[in-house]
Amino acid sequence: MASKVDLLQGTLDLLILKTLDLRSNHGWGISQRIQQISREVLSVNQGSLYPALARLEEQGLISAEWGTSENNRRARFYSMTKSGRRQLETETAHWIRMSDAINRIVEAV
Amino acid sequence: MTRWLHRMHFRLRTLARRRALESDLDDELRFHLEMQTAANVRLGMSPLVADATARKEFGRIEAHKDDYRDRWGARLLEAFVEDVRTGLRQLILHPAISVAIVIAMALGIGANTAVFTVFNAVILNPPPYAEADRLVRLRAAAPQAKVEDVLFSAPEIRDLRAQAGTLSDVAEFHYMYFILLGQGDAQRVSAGVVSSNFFAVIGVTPILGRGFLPNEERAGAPGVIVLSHQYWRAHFGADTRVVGRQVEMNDRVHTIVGVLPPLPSFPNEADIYLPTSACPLRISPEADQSRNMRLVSALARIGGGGGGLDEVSRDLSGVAAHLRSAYPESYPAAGGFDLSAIAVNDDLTGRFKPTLIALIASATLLLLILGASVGALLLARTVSRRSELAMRIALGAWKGRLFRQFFTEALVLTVLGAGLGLLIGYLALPTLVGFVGQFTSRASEINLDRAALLFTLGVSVFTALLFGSLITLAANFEGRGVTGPGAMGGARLRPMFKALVVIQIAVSFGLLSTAGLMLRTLNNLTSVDTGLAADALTMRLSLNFTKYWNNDERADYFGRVLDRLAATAGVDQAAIAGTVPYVGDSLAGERLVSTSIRSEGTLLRTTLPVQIASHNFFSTVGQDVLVGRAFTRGDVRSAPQVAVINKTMADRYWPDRSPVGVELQLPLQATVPTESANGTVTIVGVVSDARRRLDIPSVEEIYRPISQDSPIQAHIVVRSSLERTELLMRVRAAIRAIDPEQPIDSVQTFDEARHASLSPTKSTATLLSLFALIALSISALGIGGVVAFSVNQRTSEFGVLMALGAERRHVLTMVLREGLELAGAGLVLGLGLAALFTRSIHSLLFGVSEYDPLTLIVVAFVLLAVTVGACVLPARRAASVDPMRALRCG
Repeated sequence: MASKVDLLQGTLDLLILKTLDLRSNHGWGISQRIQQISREVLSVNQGSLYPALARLEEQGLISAEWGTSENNRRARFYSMTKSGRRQLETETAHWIRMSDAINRIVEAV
Repeated sequence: MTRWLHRMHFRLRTLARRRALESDLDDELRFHLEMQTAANVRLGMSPLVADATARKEFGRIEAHKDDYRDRWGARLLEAFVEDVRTGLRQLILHPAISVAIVIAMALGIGANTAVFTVFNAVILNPPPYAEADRLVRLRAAAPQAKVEDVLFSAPEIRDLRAQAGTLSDVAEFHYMYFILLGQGDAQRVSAGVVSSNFFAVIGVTPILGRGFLPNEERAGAPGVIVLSHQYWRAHFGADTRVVGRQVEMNDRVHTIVGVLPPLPSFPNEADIYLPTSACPLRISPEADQSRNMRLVSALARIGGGGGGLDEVSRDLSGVAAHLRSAYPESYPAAGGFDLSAIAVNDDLTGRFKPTLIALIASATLLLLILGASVGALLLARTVSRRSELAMRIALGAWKGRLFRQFFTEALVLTVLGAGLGLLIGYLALPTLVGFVGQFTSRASEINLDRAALLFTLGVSVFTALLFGSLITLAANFEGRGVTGPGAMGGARLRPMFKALVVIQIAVSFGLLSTAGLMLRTLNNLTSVDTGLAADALTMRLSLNFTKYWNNDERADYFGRVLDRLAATAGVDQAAIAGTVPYVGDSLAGERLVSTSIRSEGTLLRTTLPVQIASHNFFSTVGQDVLVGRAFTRGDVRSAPQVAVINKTMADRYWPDRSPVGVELQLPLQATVPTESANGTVTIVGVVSDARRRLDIPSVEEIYRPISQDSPIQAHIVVRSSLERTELLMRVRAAIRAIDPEQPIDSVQTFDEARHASLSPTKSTATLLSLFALIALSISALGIGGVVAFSVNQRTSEFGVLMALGAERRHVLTMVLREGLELAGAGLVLGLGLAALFTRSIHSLLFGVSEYDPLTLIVVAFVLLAVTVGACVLPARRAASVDPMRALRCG
């Protein structure tokens, strides 16, 4: 396993939304997906994943319902809502602007 | 907003489905663990190690759950539920105090809700006219003659329409009555006679049919009527096909053209409305042209560009000045002439304002007393919980958490109190409407509506917040006190307790004084000697005026009525008068003579009420003839014109000699109402004074015989030993036999009229007394509670004293003295407050000064007695302390 990086404050929501933008998924699936796509660089602390999911649900950005997992187990599936999609757009734009700015500073020094 | 709603919904849902969510949470986390374990196994771990690793990686499950739960917002709500539960537990732990507090709150909040409901309905809510804030009542006055409110003449209405630039339109109205015929017995119908633009000006559209058309104002137009909502419901069974039906009134057939929505009667009750052409007097060429025939009132709408009332008043002053210079003979400088405008709601509710202000002040003070009393009781309860509080503070309960708990506890009490208060308010509503109805026609709009509920809610939350803060403050004192050197429980709070008790006594003093003054007023009014017989039975006789248009015809008619009544078996005495005492009737036969009354060339007065009386009248009502003679059958129209004056007038103008034989020049009733006539009348007698209103001392009065000066509406006065129904039947038969078109109604004895005229005062006094009584009981409760608590706290002190040889009575006096000291301080403060407060009811008082010493002294004694009473029980308990036990427990 490559060395893991702790998630930047506030980015977990963005990652969850981005993951769910592709397809609905359960908590475990979301954490695996984030690890996979980031090539194992980013690891999601389960202790923050579920509260984050609950928070997003509470804000109406994602919705949850019980479904059946790929191995035929009862699992809670999260999916995007309309306002979640809007939120993702603004957050993505925000993130790109910010990472761009940080990159420029880091490279300039 | 939507997001907030979503969040609230989410939280409430999670709270409601707690158990289901808990198991869901378990499931979800277990699923995660299983998946992780499976992945670990795939990486080559043994199942056991894989599971342990997964668990380790996951962290403590329970902690996660808590994080999760916090996200639900359930924590906060859970704490709230817990606080409510604690609050209820506190309630049950101290049932007596809790019940007392809840009842006190119910009374206090109920009274405030009731008063607010009234205030909201008649003052805050505009009357049900379109854009009521732009609707004004116009007033004409003759300031030099000290006449505040004179009517308008038809030319003046036209001038106002043409010249007042700030007004977009002016409508006129006046009241009269008609005789409804052809439907059984003749009936009197009260009517508003209005210009065709009246409904447009007040902004009301008929719910059926239409209003009036401009050509219906012209003389000779066919008779049309618009029904008021009440009359339509009461007499036409709310029939929607009523438009087009015909009704016979006086000498004409009228067609119903419209029905109005419910409206407050303005300002008198009107069963129906008719266009100005219906009033023979108003439509006469004389009234149309003469500026001296003042017949109508005026309502106007402020124009779109127009400003406020001030601007309108300036505009009107300008119009008045212009009229004064254009028509000097119509507006003599001796009387003066001025125009002004008042908001229509002030006109509708003006008479109620003084009473309403007294009620609002009382309700507010009641709330203050309630706050002080309940606050003190809650404080006492908090102090007795000091060990619990100290423990909690020591364990690290933060101030906010404590405040939340106390606030919730106070909220539990207030919510219970407010709920009960609302119930009281709801039950009292009909009584309230009846009460307010005596002052303003808008009473029917009173309703426990959303505004009232919001108000109650606001008051409850506010009180809860107040008490919550108070207790938190006290708890902080107490919590720290236990560990400190002064662990004497409650000692530090003594000043606060004392202040609360003093406030209660002081404010109660104010409320009791007001109630006392109102009761004295009522008593004074009740015991006024009016100089009139109490048992004389009166009934209103309304003439079909179109039929008896001529004064001679009316004189003849009244003569026949008198003869017939005199011949009726069982009637001892019978007379007819223009008005009945105590009854304010705007259509009464009393005439305000607005031009000068001259005697031997000297101007006596510019205005004077002329009372109309038949022969036998003075002996029938109990007025004695002091000098000269009363009216006789011989005072007919062709005989010399005569008058009788009362003692007040005789004493005023002819103190040294008999006025009999003096000639007065005054306006007389002309042959037909459209003409005017001045003439000379000779005073033939002086009668004893009689009060026509209880709150106004006898005024100068001139009486004219009904046989020479006959009104359109009169009152029969009879005295008889017959039972009332029997008597009434005989009188009705007599009247019907002469001419069946004259209805009789408003049957009452002088005594009943007198009582009816007292009823607003009586209800105000009752209501204020009720407030005072509530205040007194709440105060007694608060004071008793505080003293009991204080005694409880000082048990060991008393024990020591008694161990050192103090006797029972020493302890007793100690406690009582403390109570009396507080009462003394409260009374001194209360005296100042009462002076401020009673001034607000100055205009409601009669025969008693607002600083009436007797009332103040009695109130002071009542309060002292209540305070002592409230102290006696706790004091006796203090005195019966067993020194040994007290010392051991202390």
